[in-house]
Amino acid sequence: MTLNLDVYYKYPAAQLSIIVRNDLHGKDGGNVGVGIYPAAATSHPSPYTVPNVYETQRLNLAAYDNQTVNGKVWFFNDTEYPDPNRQSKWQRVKLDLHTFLSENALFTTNSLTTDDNGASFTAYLETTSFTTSGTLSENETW
Amino acid sequence: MDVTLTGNVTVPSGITLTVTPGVNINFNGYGILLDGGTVNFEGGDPNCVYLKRSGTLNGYFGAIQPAINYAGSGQTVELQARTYNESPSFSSKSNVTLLGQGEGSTTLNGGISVINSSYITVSNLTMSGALSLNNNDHTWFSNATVTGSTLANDYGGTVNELYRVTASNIGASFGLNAYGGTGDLIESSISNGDCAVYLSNDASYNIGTNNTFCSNGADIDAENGAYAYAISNTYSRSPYPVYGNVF
Repeated sequence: MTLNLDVYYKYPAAQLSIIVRNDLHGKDGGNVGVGIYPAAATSHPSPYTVPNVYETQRLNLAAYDNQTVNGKVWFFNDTEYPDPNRQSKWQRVKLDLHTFLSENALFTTNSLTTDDNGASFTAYLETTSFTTSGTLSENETW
Repeated sequence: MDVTLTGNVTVPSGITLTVTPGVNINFNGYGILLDGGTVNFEGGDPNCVYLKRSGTLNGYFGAIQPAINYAGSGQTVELQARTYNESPSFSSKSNVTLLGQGEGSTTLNGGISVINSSYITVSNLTMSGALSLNNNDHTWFSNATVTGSTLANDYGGTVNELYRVTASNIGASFGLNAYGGTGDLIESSISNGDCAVYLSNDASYNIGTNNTFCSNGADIDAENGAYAYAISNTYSRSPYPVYGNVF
């Protein structure tokens, strides 16, 4: 005779600390769009700490094109940059580990897990607004 | 993608300018100057002309002339091992060096002019045109080869030092051609020309030691008040084809 004992249990979903931000060649700035699925992304200043987000939820993220920040125009997924390694993209960053997510300006994450706790979902924007005369005031990438 | 400079760009201390692969910088006559900052060419150096001081990189230029124009006293305009299609000039400059990577490595398709300047050095390159000197003081021209052209024209400069320079196949022309001025020609070679050294209008040059003259119509000709003091040279033939005030 075989006796099976199945145990079913529930535990509350863990609340996560997640930041969504723009990376403007190493600096923050501009706006990013964030919504907890199925809510559409709405605009927030970068960086934005997502409130009340839990594991198993998904995020609708939006990177905004043609943003002007400190006099420079930043774009997402345009084709101005010739280097394929420097196209605009979304990455998940945690403890300096970068994970590619998407080249689409709008996308929905996979279900969040506890491993996403402390991660930042980062939109890497690019610019062709360059300092072509005078003194550079910050790091610049051409 | 092109980035066109509209003025000099200065990279100050603590700032990095990164140039990604595929980006073409149109220097447009300007330069990228380092004031303690860093430029990182991820796609490799785009054949820049360097501006240095005591071996320290001070800036990048897209051509020789803008670098010379910007260079201050004590700075060196350093060329790479490649061919430049320019005929640059120094005008009213002092204590500036134009330095190639060596004869046969750095080639200038053109000549060089030095006007109203002092303590100018040109060294380590091959040129297709002459070094033209006009009213200068202390010009140093060394370790250079001039092909198919006059080696140097001097119009009234003082203390022009030509050291280990070579001019071959100068043809129906002069090698060193001085209308006035003073200087020295040392350990150099001039061949296959009408006249290797022609001095006139009170020019005074020391020709030696250890110059080699070969297959020239005349090796030294000093006329119209000019003087040449020739010491320990090898001449095209015997008797030596020297004329005028040659001692």
